[in-house]
Amino acid sequence: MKLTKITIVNFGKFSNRTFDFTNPLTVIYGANEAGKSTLVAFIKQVLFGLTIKGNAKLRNDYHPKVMPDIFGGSLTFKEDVTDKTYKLSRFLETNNKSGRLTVEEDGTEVPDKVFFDQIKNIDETFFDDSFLYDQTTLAKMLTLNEQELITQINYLGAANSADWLDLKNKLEKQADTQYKLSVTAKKPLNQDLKQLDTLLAKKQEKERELEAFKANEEKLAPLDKELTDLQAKFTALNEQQVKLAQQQKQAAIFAEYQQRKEQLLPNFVFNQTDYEAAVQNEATSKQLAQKVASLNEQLANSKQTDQFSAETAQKVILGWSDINLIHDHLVSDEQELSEHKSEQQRINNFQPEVVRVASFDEEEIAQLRSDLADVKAAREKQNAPAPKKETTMGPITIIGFVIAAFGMLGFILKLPAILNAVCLIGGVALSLWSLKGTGAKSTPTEDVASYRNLVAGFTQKYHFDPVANIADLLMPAEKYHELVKKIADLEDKIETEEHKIIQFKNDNLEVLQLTDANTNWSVVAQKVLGLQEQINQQTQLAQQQKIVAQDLEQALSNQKDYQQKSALLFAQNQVANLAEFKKKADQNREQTNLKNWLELQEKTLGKDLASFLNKELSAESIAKQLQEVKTEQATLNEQINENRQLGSDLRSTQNLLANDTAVQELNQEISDLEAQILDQMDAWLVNKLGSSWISAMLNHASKDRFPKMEEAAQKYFGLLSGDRYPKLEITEKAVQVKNQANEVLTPEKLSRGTVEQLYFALKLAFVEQISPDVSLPVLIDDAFVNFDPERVQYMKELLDNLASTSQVILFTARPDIAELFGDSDDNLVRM
Amino acid sequence: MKFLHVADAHLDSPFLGLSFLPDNEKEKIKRSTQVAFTKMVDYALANQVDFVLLVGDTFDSPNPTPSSQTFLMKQLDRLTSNQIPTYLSFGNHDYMTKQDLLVKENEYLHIFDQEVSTLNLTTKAGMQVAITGFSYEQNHILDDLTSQYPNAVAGVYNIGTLHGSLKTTNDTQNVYAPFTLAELVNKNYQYFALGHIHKREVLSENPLVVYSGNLQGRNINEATPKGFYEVNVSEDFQSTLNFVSTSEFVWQIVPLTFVNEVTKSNLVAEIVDQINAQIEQTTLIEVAVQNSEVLSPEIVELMRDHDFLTGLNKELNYHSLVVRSSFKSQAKIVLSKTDQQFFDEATDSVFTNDALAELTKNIQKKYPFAVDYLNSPDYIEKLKTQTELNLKQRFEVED
Repeated sequence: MKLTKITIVNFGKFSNRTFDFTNPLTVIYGANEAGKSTLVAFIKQVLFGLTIKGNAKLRNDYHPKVMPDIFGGSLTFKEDVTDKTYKLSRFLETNNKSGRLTVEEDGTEVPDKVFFDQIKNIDETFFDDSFLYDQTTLAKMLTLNEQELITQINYLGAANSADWLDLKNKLEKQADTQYKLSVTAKKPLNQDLKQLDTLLAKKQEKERELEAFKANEEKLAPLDKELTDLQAKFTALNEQQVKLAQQQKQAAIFAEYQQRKEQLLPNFVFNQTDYEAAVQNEATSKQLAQKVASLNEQLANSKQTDQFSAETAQKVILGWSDINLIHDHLVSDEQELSEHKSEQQRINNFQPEVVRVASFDEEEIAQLRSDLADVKAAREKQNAPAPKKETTMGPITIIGFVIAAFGMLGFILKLPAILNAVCLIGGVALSLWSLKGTGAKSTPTEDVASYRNLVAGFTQKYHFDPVANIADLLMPAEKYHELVKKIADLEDKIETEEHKIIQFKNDNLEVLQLTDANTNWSVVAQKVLGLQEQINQQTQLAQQQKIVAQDLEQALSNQKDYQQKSALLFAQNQVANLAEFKKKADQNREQTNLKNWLELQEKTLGKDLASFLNKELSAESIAKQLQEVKTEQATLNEQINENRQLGSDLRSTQNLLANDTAVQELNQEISDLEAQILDQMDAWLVNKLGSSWISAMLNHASKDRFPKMEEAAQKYFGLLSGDRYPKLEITEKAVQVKNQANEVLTPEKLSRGTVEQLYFALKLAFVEQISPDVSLPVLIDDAFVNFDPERVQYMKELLDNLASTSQVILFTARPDIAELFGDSDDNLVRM
Repeated sequence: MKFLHVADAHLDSPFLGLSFLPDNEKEKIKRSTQVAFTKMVDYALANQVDFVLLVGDTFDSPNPTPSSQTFLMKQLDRLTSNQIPTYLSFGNHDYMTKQDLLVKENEYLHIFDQEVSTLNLTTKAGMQVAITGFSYEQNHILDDLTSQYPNAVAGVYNIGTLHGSLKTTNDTQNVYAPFTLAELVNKNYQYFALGHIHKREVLSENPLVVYSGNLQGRNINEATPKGFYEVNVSEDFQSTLNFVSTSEFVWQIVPLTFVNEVTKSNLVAEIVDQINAQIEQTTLIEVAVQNSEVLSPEIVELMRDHDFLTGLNKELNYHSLVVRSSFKSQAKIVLSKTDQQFFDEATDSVFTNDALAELTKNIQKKYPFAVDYLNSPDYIEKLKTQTELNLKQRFEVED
C-alpha cells in the first residue's frame, strides 16, 4: 500500500495543501516548525481518528481553538498488487470528535473494513511502534524492555494483533492475580495451596495420632490371646478346685468311714429267726399273763357277789305268786266295790224314795200301802190329770249341789281325783235332774183340791210323791238292800287282802330294798322281778367262774410252755433274756446299717478309697493343694483383671479413635479445598493457556517472518553499526548480539547509540517483514538527527534497502540529509 | 461358578465440590461408599457367590481411618465367616501392606503381595481357579508387570487381577502398572479383572478384559452408573457378565439447551424442567449449558452462584441436587481467516501435556491430587473448551 497523495483541507497550519508521492523513498525537507510533524500527525489522524492518543499539546496544535468549517483532509493509497486506489477522507463532525471517515475504492465509497482489513486492522499503537520513527517513538522504544520488545516483535503480524496482545496481557495479568509460581506469592491459588499444605500437615499429624490405633490394635490381639490363655488357665484351675473340693468331701467321708469301720464287731452273730421267735414268745407270754390276770380278776369279782342271800330271795320268790294273786283280787274287789258304791250313790241320789222305803219296817210298809191306796182313790175320783210339777229347788237339788261342792273341795284339798270327779259330776247331774222333776202344777178344782191335799200330805209324810203301784217301790228297795250287803262284804274282803299285802311288804322290806310298806305294788313287782334276775345271774356267774377257772389253768400251763421255749432260745443265742436279745437285735441292726453305710461310702469313694488307704491321698494334702489352687487363682484373677482393665482402656481409646471423625472431616476439608484449588487452577490455566494460545497464534502469524526478520535485522544492524556486531540473535525470550570478538552481549551492555541502532534495525527489519501483510509508509521524522555523517551514510544504505520493500517518507531539517537522500526532485519535497 | 469382580470402593473418600451442600446431604453422600460396599457384600451373601475379587483402591488412601478399617474388617468378616473366599489387592490409592490392614488374612481372606503371585482355589462345585495378582506398596508402579503373570494353565479358569491403566504415549500417565491390551489377551486367561479406571468398560470380549469401575461415583467425572460385575462361568469356562449397581446416587452431567429466551423470571423453570426430564434416580447434577451464547452475562453469573443452584434442588425429582454448572458456547471465536488458521495451528502447540506440565510443574511436584486431575485423558480437551470460551467472551467484551 503506497501513499500517493496527501490532501489537507484544514489541519494544523496547513490549508488546502497537497503532497504527492511517487517514489519509494521521499524526503520532506523543512526547517524546524515548518510542519513536518503536523504532516506526520495528519497521516496518523486520518488513519486512526482525529482525537488521537498521544501528546495533548500536539493534538491541540492540530485542533485549533477556533475550528474552521471543514477540518480534515484525505490520504490516497495505491495497493501494490491490485493497483486499486483507496482514498481515505476524514473530516471533523460536531457529534464525531474523531471525525467521519469515508473510504473510496477506485472512486466508490466502500466500508472502512475493506481498507483496514488490508492492513490487518492494525491500531494506532502498532502504527506508532512499527511505522513511525521519531524522537518520541525512539524514546519510547528505548523504554520498552527487551522482553516487551521481543513480544512486540514476535506477535506483530496478525490482524488485531494489538487487541490480541492486549488481551493476552490482560489474561496474563489476571492469571498473575490468581497464581504465581513464586513461592512467596500471595495470590489466591498460592494461598489456597499454602492452606492445603497446612491442612495436609495437620492431616499427617492427625494420622500419626491414628497410627496409635493400629498400634493399639496390635497390642489388643496379644492381650486378647493372653486373656484367653488366662481364662483357660483359670477354668482349668476351677476344674481342679472342683476336683479338690470333691476330694476334700471324699476325705471327710473317708475319715468317717475309717472311724465307723472300727465300730464293726468282728464275730458278731445274730439269729434273726430265733430273735423273732423269742419276741413272738414274749408277746404270747405277755398275752397269757394278761389273760391270767384277767381271769383272776374275774374270779375275784365273782366272789364278791356271794354276799347275796339266795335263799331269802328264793323264799320271797316262792311267796310272790300267792301274794300277787291276792293283790289281783284286791284290785278286782276294789273295782267291784267302787261300782257298787256308785250304784248305791246313784240310787241315793236319784231314787231317795227307794232308799226310804228300804229303811221301812213291816208296819211302815203297810202304812205306805194304805196311804198309797188313798191317793190312788182320790186320783181316780177326780180323773184329773196328774198335777204338773213346779220347778222348785228341792232337797235333791241341794244335795246334788253339795256333792258337787264337795267334789270341788276335793280338788282343792287334793283328795283322790276320781272321787272328786265323781262327786263333782254326780252332784251337778243330780241338781239338774231334781230341778227338772219338780216342775208340776196343781189344778184348782175341788176334787183336785182334795187330791192335792192328799198328795201334799203324802209327800209331806214320805218325802216323795205317791206312786201308782207299790211294787214299784218295794222291788227296788229289796235290791237296794242286797247292794248294801254286797258293799259291806266287799269291804271286809278288801280289808283282809290289804292286810296280807302289807304284811308281805313288811316282811320283805330288806330283801326287796323297800323304804316302807306303802311302796307301790308295781315297784314291788319290779323289785321281785329284779330279785329273780339276780338269782338268775347268780346262777350264771357260778357257771362262768367254773369256766374261768378252767381257762386259767390252761393259760398257766401255756405260759409255762412258752417260758421254757424262750429259755431255750435265749440259751441258744447266748442271751440271758429277751431284753438282752433285743439289745443284741439292736446291735445287729446297727451293725447291718454300718455295713451298708460302709459299702455305700466305698462306692462313693470309688478309686479314691485305695488312694486314701495307701495314703496317696489325705485331707491334709488335698487342703494344701486346694490352698495352692486358690492362691494361684487369686493371682490369675488379678492378671485377668489387669488384662481386662488394660483391654478395656485400650478399647475405649480405640473406640474414641475409631469414632474420631476429625480425619474424615479434615479429608473432606482438604478435598473441598482441593476442589477449590482445581477450580482455581482451571481458571488460572484458562487464562494462562489463553495467553499462551494467543502467543502461539501470534507466533504462528509471524513465524515465517521470524528468521527473515532476524536476517534483515542483522543486516540492518550490521549496516548501522559498521559491522561491529556481525551476529544478531532474536529468540522468543531475548535479543542478543555478538561482537567481533564473538562475545555475546545483551542490549543493556551496549551503548545508548548502539541500542538505538539496534532497535532501528530491529524495527525496520520488522516493517520489512510484515510488509506483505501490513504495507504502510515508514515515516521517519528526524529520527537519526543525532547520527554522525558516517552513520547517516549507513542509514542511507539501509533506507535504500528498505525502500525496495516499503515506502519510506523521511522528514528532516538537516540539509545534508535532505541532499543525501533526496537525490532527485521527484523524491525531495521542500516545505 | 460365579464370582464378583469389585474394584475401587474408595472407602473414606471425600467428595469433591460439595462444600456448599447442607450438612445432612453431605453426610448421606459421604456414607455412600460404605453403603455401596455393604450392598456388594449383601449381594455376595444372598447369591452365595464362589469368591470375591477386590481389585485395589478399596480405601481412598494409604492411611485409612480407623472407622474405615473397622468397617472393612466387619464387611470382610461377613464374607469370610460365610466361607466366601475373598481376594484383596491394594491399589495406587491404598498402597499399603497387609500388616497395615486391621483385618488379617485367614483361610478365606487372601491379600496379594507386591510381587505378582498366583493363588489357587477349587470351588464348591469342583472348578479349578487360578487367580494372579499383585498389590501396590507405593503409589506408582512404572513397570509393566504383565510379563510376570504366568501363562494360562489348561483346565483351570485363569483370572488375572490388575489395578492399573493402559499404556499411553504420555509417559507421565504410565505410572499405574501400565499394560497393553494385547499383552493381556495373549496371556490366554479366561478373565482379567481390572481396577483403577472408575468408568466401567469391557476392553476385550474374548477373552474378557474388564474394568468393573468403582462402586459409587464420587464426582461429576464419575457419572456412569456404578457397581460391580457378577461373572457367571459355565462348566466349559464361558463367562457372562452381569452388572450390579450399588450406587446410592449417580452423578450426571445434564446438558441444558435453551431454546426460549431466558430471563431471570423463567430461568428456574427452564432449568428444572430440563433436569427433571433427564434424571431417573437420585442424582448429583452438573448442569452443562450447551449454548451459553444465548444467555446474558447476568444469567451466566447467576447460574454460577451456589445459592442459586442450591435453590433449584427443592424442585428436582428424586431428591436430586445440583452441585455445579458449566457453560459451552456454540459460537466460534470470530476471527479473520488467517487468524483462525493461526489459532488452529497454535492449538496443537499450546494444549500439550508438556505445556501443561511446565505450567503446573510446581503444583504437580507437590500435589498428587492435581497430578491425577491434570493428567486425566480428557482434561486438556476440557481446558481447551474453557479457554476457547473464555477467549471468545473476553475478546467480544474487549471488542
